[in-house]
Amino acid sequence: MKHLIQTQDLRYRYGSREILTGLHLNIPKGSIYGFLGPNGAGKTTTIRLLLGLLTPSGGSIDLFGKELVRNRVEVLRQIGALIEVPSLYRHLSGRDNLEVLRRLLGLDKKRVEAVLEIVRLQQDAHRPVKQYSLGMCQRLGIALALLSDPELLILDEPTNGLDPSGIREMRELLIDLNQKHGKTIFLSSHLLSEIEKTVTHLSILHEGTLAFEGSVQELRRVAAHTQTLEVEVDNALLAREVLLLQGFAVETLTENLIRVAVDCKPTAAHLNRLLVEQGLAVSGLVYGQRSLEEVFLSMTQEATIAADSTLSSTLTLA
Amino acid sequence: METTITYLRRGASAEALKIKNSWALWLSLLAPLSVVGMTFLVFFFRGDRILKPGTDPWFIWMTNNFMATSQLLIPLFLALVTALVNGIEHNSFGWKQLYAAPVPKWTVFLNKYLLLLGLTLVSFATFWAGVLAAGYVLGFLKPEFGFQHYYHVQSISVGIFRIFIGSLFILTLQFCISFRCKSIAVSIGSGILFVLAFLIASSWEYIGYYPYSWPYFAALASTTKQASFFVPQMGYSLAGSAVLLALGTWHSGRSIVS
Repeated sequence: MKHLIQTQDLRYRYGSREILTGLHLNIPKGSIYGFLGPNGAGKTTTIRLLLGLLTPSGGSIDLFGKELVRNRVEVLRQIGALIEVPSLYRHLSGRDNLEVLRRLLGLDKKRVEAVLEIVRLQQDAHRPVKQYSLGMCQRLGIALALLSDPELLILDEPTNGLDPSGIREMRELLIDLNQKHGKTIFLSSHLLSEIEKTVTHLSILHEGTLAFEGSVQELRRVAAHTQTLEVEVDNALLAREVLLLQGFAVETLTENLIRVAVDCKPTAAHLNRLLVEQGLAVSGLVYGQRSLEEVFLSMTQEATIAADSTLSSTLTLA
Repeated sequence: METTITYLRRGASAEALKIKNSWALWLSLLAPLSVVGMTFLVFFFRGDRILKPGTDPWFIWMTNNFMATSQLLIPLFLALVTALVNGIEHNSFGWKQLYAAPVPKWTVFLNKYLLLLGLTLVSFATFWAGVLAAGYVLGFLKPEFGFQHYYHVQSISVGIFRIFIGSLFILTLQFCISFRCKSIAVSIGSGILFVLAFLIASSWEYIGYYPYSWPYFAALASTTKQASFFVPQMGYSLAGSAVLLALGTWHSGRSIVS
């Protein structure tokens, strides 16, 4: 089995609002799959559909090669999930929280200590959960997801609310679970920066459909091909007119500065020549390569050029 | 069938652990003892004015305990304990985890109901033990009342069993309300309103069809000589409870968690 999760044309409607409009997901076995999208894009809805908490309006969901609707209990036995905030009984200790789920699923008692060790919570397992920090609650939530020793972990925003050190700990834990324990991990996030160092594959969800699906390397290639050029001229309005007539995408930044989307260096040279031929004084050309985050933002926002492009290298001065 | 029993056994065990360190179990023990305790104090200090010398004191003792319990204590206790137990799940955002677990969805509803049925049985067993024990203690401390001369274990047991059956519908209804409503105020408030409605309309000719009067009518049978073992309100309660439970279980099996 190559893919543990496969969805075909998955749709979900809430009232008159289309939340998912034909989602095709393929989560490879052994991967850490990042499911990215801004708040409200439909990530949690997708996860709830994958866990059988919601009924799709259309399309199909196959987990472990079996249709979810017909094999719900069987496939869920192989899945551990953390959905948004962990479901924890705050009046009980961490160990008792795990014991509740262990009893419900009829698991071996040894599993409780085993998962406490994996998430490094043995020392605090006896304390009531109401005394836990947010990071400890998240780790306990992951321990709950791991309790049945599932092959697939579905984690909804596991780094939500964590401080930078908590995010780093979570990242290490997820990589550890994937590499040492062989878990396939499907995790959602609204911040690429939080998961780009963790995931092997990712998809970007925008307005209920995928704007990108592939490996992190593939997204980097998209970013490398998407450059902007900041051009300093004596008359930004005239320069804008000239370039728009030639089919460039132009954004005016100040009265002397414009930003233009370019795909390669010869285009930059061509653009420079055009402006000079029109009698404009070009005093600066600076490349700005878009970060992965900006590519992610551009895929999930209406603006074609991100506002905070990072300037990386000076090309020429005219 | 075996799988169903396994699911329910595991679920009941998990649910039982959830009430550890919570008020639910204490409430089940203390609520019946509070009625018995207050009645005990009244009899201890004013028993000579309540009881006629030479008559069976158990009858009045039983009536006092049963009336307070059936009219007020049981409906309010059931509203409170169901809200507390389901509140644990609401407050911990636990429903999504339960419905995402590899167990049939309908077991989520039934497991919790079985826990609450168990707590209700604990409460009734405590009430039974309290009524008998406090009666015999009165006989020991106040021999002039004559409690020690009579034996009423069977009639008290039957009377409490009647109230239990008469209360089943309230248990199931309050359970359904608190299962659906996240707000503990709605769950408890509805219970209080239903009890008040019963007290206000208690002289209404059709009050016997009102569910919150059923424990009272079931208790009344024990204070009336020549009453049959099974009064109609017990039947209404059993049937209504069974229908509501079946509907709730069916609905839980189709539940979506948004």
